[in-house]
Amino acid sequence: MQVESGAFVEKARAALTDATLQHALKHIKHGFVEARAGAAARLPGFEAMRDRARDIRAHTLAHLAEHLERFEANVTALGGHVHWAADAEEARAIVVRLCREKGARTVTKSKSMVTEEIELNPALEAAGIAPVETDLGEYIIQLRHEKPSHIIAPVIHLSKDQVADTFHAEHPKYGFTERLTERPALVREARAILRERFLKADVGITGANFLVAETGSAVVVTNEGNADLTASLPDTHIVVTGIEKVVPTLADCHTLLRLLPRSATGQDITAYVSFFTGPKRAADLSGPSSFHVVLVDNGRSSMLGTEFEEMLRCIRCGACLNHCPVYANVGGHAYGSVYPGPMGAVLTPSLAGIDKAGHLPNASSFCGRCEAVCPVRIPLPKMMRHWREREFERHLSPAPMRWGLGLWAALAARPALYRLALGLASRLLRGRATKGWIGRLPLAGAGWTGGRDLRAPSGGTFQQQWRRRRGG
Amino acid sequence: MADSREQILGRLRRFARPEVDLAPAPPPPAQAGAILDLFVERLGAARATVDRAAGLAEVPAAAARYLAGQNLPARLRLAPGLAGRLDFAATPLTLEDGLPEADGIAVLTDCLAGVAETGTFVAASGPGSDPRLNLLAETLIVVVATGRVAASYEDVWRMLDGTPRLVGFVTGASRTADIEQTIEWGAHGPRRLHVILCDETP
Repeated sequence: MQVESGAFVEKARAALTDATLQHALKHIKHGFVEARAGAAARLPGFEAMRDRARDIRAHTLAHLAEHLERFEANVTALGGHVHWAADAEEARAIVVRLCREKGARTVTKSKSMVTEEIELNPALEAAGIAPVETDLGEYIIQLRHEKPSHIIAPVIHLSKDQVADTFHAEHPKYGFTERLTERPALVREARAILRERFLKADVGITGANFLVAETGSAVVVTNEGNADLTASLPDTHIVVTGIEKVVPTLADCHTLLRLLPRSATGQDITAYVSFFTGPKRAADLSGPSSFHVVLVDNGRSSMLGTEFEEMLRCIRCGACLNHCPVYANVGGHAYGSVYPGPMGAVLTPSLAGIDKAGHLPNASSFCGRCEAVCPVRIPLPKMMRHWREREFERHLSPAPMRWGLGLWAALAARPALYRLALGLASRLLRGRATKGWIGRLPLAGAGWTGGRDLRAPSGGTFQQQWRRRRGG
Repeated sequence: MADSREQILGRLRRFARPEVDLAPAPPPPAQAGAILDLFVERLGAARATVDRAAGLAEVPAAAARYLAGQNLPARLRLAPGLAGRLDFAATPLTLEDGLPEADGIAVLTDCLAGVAETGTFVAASGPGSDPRLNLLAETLIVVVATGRVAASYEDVWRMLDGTPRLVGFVTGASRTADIEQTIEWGAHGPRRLHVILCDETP
C-alpha cells in the first residue's frame, strides 16, 4: 500500500489555497451531510439500528474464522472458488494468475477500495491485461492517473470543467472529438465508451460491500449498475475483498444495508443492491461460468485483539469523511492514502505502519463528529489518540512537540512549580492582550494565533478559582 | 496459498471470543399503511413511473401507452419469462430479439417481487430470466405482480428456493452523482424505469 502521508502538512496547506478544490468540496455539505441527516430522520428506529449494526459487526469479528469458513464452504458447494491472500502481493498474484488462465486481455472493474489498497491495476497492466474502471468516478481518475480522493465519491475534488478537459484529451481516439461542457453529455459519452468495454471484457472484477456466510454471497451496492454489468457479462467474475467484510446471515446483511446508503449518500437504498452467489447454474440463461472470491488479509488480522480491532467494524460508508472539518477543508489527496479522513487516519497506520502514516492521527480537531455519525459506532477519536500515544512512544512525533510535552510533564509533577509557572504565564499573556484578546503569540503559540485570536486569561488560574470556591 | 489460508485462519482463531453473543435479529422495520400504497409512493420517490393492469392481457397496451407517452419508438424486446405469454396484436408495437446492446432499446420484463420499503423490484437469475436484458436496456418496463409485493427485503428471500446466482434489488433507474454531486440518469443501465403493477402473477 503506497502511502505518502509524510507530506500531509504541505499538501493540506496547498489544498487550502486551491480555489477549484475548495469550490468542489463545498458540495459535501448539501450532497452528503444534509442528505444523511434527512435519511436518518426518515427511518424510525435509526439509532437502535446502529446499535444492532455495531453488535453484528462485533460478533462477526469475534467469530471471524468460523464465518469465513462457512462462507467458503457455501461458495465451494456451488462450484465457486475461494482464495486466501495474506498480503497485497499475494492478492495481486492470484488475480493476475486467474486472468491469465482465462487468456484475458481486458478486464472490467467496478469500484473497489481493496483493489486500490492492493494496487491491482498496475499489476494487471504489467501482465499485459488492460483494466477498465467502470464506475464513472473511478473511470475519470483512471484517465487522469490519479487516486480517488474519497472512498465513495472518487472525483469529489474535480469540477465539471476538469472532467470535460480530461474527456476531451482522452476520447478523440474513440471518435469523440468535441469538447463537451454539460454534465448529461459527459455522462452519455462515458456510457457509450464503457458500453463497448463491458461487452468485450474477458473478466469482471468487483469488490464486495458484504459477504454473507449463510449463503456464500458477495453483495455489491452501486447506483450506476456497473457492478452488475461487470459481474454478469464476462465469463469470469472475480470478487476481491477484505476478510472483515463477512456477516453471518442475510438478515444481518439487510440491517447493515439499511444503514450503509443512508449514512453514505442519504439514500434509503442505492439503485442496485446485488447478491452474487457462485457461478452460472445449469439452467441459467446467462452468467459467468467461473466465480472466484479473493479474501485479502493485508494487515487486518493483526488488528484483532488490539486497541484498533473496532476499526474492522467499518462498512466504508464515508460518513466520517463527510462530517470531518479537516477533510471538508483539505480534501482526500492531502492524506496521501487511499483511505482518507478519520477512518483513514486509523486504518492507514494499521495497514501500512505508523512510521509511514504518522501525521494522520494528528490531522483531527477531535470534535467527535466522525464517531457521532458512524453507523457502526466506531470510536474513531479514541483510536486516533491511541495512534498518537504509539507515535510518541516510538519517538516519531516532531521534536518541539516532544520538548513541549516533556516540559509540561515536568511542571505538572511539581505542584508548587506548576502554580508559579502558570501564574507567571497568565500575567505575561494578560500583558500582551488588547481589549481581552491576544492577536499574536511567540514561538509555538504563533501557529495558533496565525489563524485566530486567543482570549486573554482572566479571573485567576483554575486552581486559584477552585480554592476560592471551595473555601467560600 | 494453502499456507496463507491456514496462517490467516490460525490467527483469527487465536483471537476468537466464543463468549461474544448476538441477540436474535429483531424484525425488519414495520411499514405503516397499506403495503401497495407504500410501494407506489416509494416508486415515485425513486423517480419511477407507475401504471396499473388488472391482468396480463392488459400489459401490452400499457407498455405501448408508456412508450408513446415518452415519444419512444414502438419497439420492444421481451424478457424470456414473458415470451409467448402476451399478445401484442392489438398494439402498434414491434417485438425484436437479441441483447439490447445498442442505445435506445426498450425491454419489458417480469420480476420476482416488489419491496414496499423502498419501492424496489427484485430480479433473480434463473431459467426464465436473463439479467443482462435489464442491465443493458435504456428503457426498462417491469411488470410487478401485486400479489408479490413484500413489505421488506427479508420477506423476498422466503419466496426463493435456494440462492440463485444473482438476486438483484433494483430501485429506480441507473444513475451517477460522481460529477459535482449532481444526479444524472442512465449512467450505464436504464435511463428510465416504468412499473406496471399487475393484479395477475405472470
